[in-house]
Amino acid sequence: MNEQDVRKQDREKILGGVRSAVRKDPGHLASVEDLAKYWKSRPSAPRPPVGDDLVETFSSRIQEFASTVVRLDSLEAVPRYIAEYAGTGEDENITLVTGEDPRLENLPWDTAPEIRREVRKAERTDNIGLSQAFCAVAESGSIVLLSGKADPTSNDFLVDRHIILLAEDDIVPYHEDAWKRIREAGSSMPRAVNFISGPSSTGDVDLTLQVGVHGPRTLHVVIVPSNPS
Amino acid sequence: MESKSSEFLARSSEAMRDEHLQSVLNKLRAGLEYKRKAAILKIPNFEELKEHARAVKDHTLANLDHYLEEFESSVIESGGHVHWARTSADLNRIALEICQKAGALRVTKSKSMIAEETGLNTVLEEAGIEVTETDLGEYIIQLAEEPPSHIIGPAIHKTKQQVIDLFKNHHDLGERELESVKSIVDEARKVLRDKFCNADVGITGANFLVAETGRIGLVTNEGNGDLTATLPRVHIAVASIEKVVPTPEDASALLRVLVPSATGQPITSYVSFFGGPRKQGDPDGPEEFHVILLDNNRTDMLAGEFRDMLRCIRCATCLNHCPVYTSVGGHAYGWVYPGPMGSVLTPLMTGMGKAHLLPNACSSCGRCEEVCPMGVPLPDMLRQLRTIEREQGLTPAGWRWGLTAFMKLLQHPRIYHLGARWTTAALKRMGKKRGSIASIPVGSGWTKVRELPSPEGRTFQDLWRQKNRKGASGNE
Repeated sequence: MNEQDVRKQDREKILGGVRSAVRKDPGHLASVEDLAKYWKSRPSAPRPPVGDDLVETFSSRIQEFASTVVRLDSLEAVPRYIAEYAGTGEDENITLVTGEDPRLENLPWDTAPEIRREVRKAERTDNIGLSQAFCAVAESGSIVLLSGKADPTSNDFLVDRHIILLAEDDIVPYHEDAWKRIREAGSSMPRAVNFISGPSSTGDVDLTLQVGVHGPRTLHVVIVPSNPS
Repeated sequence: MESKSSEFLARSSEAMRDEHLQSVLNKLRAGLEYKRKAAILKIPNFEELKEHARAVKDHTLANLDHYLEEFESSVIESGGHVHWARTSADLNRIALEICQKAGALRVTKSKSMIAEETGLNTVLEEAGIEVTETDLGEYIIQLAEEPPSHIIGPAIHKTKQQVIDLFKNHHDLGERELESVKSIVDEARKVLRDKFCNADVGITGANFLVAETGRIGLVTNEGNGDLTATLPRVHIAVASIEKVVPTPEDASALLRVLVPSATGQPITSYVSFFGGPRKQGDPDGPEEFHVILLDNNRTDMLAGEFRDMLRCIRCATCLNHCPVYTSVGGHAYGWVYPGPMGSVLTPLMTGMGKAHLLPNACSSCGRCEEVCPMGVPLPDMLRQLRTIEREQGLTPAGWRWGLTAFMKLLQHPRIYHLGARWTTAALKRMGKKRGSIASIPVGSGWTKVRELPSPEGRTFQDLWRQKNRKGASGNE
């Protein structure tokens, strides 16, 4: 028997074992039609309350753990704000890594000449990265980021300080709403969907919470009224 | 991993005498119990969320064949591969083959209890591959060459000083001193960054397998899973078959009860879903994506009386609330899974012969079931395993005879009451002067470390009878 046959056999043995284990279960739905009927009539999941003001709920929940949030009145103010936030006060250039995101491209970067923007995938030595949130979830204070050209996954995990731009209209109440938006956004799922709710942290030494283990040491969310067009 | 569960009694006695371990366990008891409670008090409908999570898992298990096949075809559709492993050895062989085919010299791993279960690291290392654990806790115990002692905090048994000593021995620190937790974490960050960026293959576990999308879900605070799944050329996820959920929304529903129960957080810093190789135009991500599905006796559990155990989502709250676990720590249990959930899983996966003592490491207090977010009836299952232990004649002779004698005694109330009255009277006389008894003939195990307070009066039965007599005469 060749290797492929053995593998097929192992698959069949596991699935066969599962089939005979569940066949007589009262909850087992044998036909595709029965399953479809189940999914049609399945009640939606209960959810914890989030309140009416989604921006407020999101901001307070993500700040419960080590993240910081600022609200700006306009998109135009973003580059200047980032220069102030990321600058050391001295007359130095600030390198800012971003993905190939057309929404970020259109910001008035000329208002912050000290920022040197590098549009690429982040490397291990990069200090500051900027991403535009796909959406955010108020329920748990989570930012949703999708992999791809506009925001390579490396940019969310390799930089020391991660800044995320978020439009107010992109804050949804629940995780289910975020999944709905992701399904509607493309024909297929991106390789990575990341719900980010704080900087990288660990409790593995002495049961003490320490921020900044493998990923970003700080997470800063900049909330603007609406999306860059 | 090889089981040492048969040494439970000796290992637990040793753990009770280990001052370092006891100091950490005290901290754990006080910390995680409080954090979980505080987190759950903030969620007004937590019970409802629990019930839903349980219903999701019950439906999935009852239709596991369908959802496993759906998961497989979704992974294939997004360009990945699915492998089926019946045993630990099968999983290790498949993972090694993938690594060798990729010409891998260096592997990074994020925390996986399945890889602990199968002993994957040893197999890869014996084939000459460098394996680096990247979860900080796993990294610490890898340096110490120890198994995990807790399923979400693998190195909780280590004190800060012990971690500093390990780093001093294994890292080139030069003149630098490590003191604060921050300095330890910074040192690990520096060393592990190199590993992340130079690995050929990244191996992760999976908290969820999403059938509809062919994605694996990873729940972490460190972000090491995300780097492991993104930077190397090949990503392998290892997971057991019961980790499947139908949709991403179902994963979110389980997450709502998992994280507060596990760490007392509303959510972890990172909840990530990965699947397939990098897409056209993606600047990063692996070139190959593999999932290895492990059975290892789980189909037997699905068929039998222990199916409820497959609802377990590995939050570890039963460990944190168990009076036995928080007294002896995880290593006493001798295998991968400790505490109440481990005392059920270990005999079912490694066999009763080696692990039959574990279901006895239980005071029947019921706290594990009370706090379990998935309503797993742990105390019932532990009792059932003790019954099986007895049926298979594995119960130590002394316990068997003692329990038989006790059962006989309970079946004859008159003799029992007479015996209780005599014993009470005798103990009262023994402890007359001091009010307590330093040693008793058949209870030396108990009196070795504490004194037995002497009985103050008559037996409960006597008092009860007297009260009823009085009550009856009062009514007249």
